[in-house]
Amino acid sequence: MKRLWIGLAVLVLVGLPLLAQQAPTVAVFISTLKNPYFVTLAEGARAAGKALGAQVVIYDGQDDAALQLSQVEDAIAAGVQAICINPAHTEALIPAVERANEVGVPVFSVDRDVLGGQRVCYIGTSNVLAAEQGAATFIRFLALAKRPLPWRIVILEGIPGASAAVEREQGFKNVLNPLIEGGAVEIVADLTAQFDRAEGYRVMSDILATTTDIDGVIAANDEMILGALEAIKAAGVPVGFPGGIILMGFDAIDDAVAAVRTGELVGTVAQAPYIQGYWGVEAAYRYLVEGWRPPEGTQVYEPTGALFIPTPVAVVTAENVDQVAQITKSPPPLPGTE
Amino acid sequence: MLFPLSALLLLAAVASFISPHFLTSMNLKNILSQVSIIAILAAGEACVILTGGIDLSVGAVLAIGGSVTAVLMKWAGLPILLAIAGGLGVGLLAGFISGTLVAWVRIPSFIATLAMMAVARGGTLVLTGGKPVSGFTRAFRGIAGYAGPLPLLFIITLGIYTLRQLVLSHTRLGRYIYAVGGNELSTRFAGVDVRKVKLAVFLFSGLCAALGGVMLDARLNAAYPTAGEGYELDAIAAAVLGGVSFSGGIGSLVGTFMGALVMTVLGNILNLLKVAAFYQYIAKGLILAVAAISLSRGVKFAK
Repeated sequence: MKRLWIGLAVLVLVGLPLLAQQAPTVAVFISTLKNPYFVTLAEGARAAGKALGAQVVIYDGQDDAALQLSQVEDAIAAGVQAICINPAHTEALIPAVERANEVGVPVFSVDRDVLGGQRVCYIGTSNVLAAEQGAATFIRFLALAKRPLPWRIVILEGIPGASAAVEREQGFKNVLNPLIEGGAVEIVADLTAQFDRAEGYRVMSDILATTTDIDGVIAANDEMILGALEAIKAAGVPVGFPGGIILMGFDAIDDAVAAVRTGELVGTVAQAPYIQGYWGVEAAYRYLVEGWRPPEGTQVYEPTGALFIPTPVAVVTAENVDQVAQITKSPPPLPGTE
Repeated sequence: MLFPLSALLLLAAVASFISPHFLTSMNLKNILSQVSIIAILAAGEACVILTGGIDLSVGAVLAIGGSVTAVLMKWAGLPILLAIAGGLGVGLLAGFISGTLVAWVRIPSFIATLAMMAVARGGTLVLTGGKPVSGFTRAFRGIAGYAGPLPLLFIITLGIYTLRQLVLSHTRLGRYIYAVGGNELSTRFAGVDVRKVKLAVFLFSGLCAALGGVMLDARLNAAYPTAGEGYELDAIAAAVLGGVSFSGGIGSLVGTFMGALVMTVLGNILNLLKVAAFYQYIAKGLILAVAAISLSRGVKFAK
């Protein structure tokens, strides 16, 4: 027994300081590092830290708002000087932002905004606009494939209630609803697959069990469309433009970009999480060191009322797939620094 | 109980040694707030495990209890106390159903509460339409406030623990709970209605979980449908770390509370030290494993 306790003590004493990073400046709270999209965001944040000489600490919120609030509390107690938060929930993290406000630690929201408390700015993309661009591209490919009307499509939605899911659904519907009303598009199924690849596979195979007469599938993220792709392939139904089922993803994660290259997906929407992470840390660092503020005339993000620094959006298709890495991983200058 | 206490003290000593931020009043307040909700769940869970059962539904019941309270306040405009009563009532209902399934229908508790977990989670999504409900009154948010230096959440948790420990040590029901976990058959032969004992622990677990949901609402100023996912595992881990034996009959609530504290302090220290996210999983796993090895040794001799 005694030996075990000594073992525990040694483990803690020796192990933790080795893992710990000293003297940080910017804490970055990520909603979940299980999603490659946010892993890329974290990479961008780290790269900015390296480029600027800022200390960056990444916290994994595991999609749990309560855990994320605890992490913010702990980081503030540990004396971080600025916070970049990518909230697991837009509303449940308001108390976390308020805590930071109380002690004067500046907060920058990244990719998703928090619906309250004081944020210096929100760095992200408008999910609604990006989803509209994705849906428009999807429709363009259906038209180019010269399918008979109505086009029978499947929509895979994200986690019910998550703001990205709600906003992307809104963007899809903005483009699709007029077409549905006009009889050009028919919805075969409009279901949630929880932003998850395994769920995408499962839901798609369930749909395929009812019908294979499907012209296209559009999903609110790449994980779901890649799961659906595997399900369609497993069912032996042809995929791809122009003869098979036309698949459109969202997020441009590496796997999806590869699938665009092979023609299995017609496209995916690149939101540049790398640039979001990079700009988040850069803005926080420059705020602290150089007194950077969002430049005069910065727009306001309507849904949340925050000052909005938009990051670039690109729809990735076979035509531009080779320039994607260049577009999404080379951060342009942060507005207000030139 | 001594083991988890010494583990906790050791952890705290080490923490204050390697991080100057650990023993600040801000951080200690943080820890007390953070431990409250997981400890409440663990209190209910520990009682179920004491009878030799398990309750996998506590995370989902937390979500539905919290959502019902939030919906009653925000959408139905009920006064705070009535809304909370409604939320707790749903927790009791969930516990009643689980308890009935286990005690009378004789479904193993693992399966019965797995079913309850799915139903409660689904019910939460249906009720809220999958959307978070947020923005409560100041009075309600006050539940996550402070009484002097102590967070109210912590005082509530402490109250529940005190009450429950009194029940366990000084009432017939308390003795029966241990007896059922120790040897169910002979307890039945002794003339105890084992079914009622089981129902009682599931009722308590459901109540604790729903109370945790109300507390989380106040802390986050929002109820969200995915709240509490995976918390059942934390609750079970806290109970077992605190010396509650998986085979039932052995363990205490004080130990369970220490177990919950160990887990919370562990997460807190890793955050204070700014340990990188992925290494946190490994560090947590290693430390829990070491702690569990030493704890299970003690239990082996006892049984």
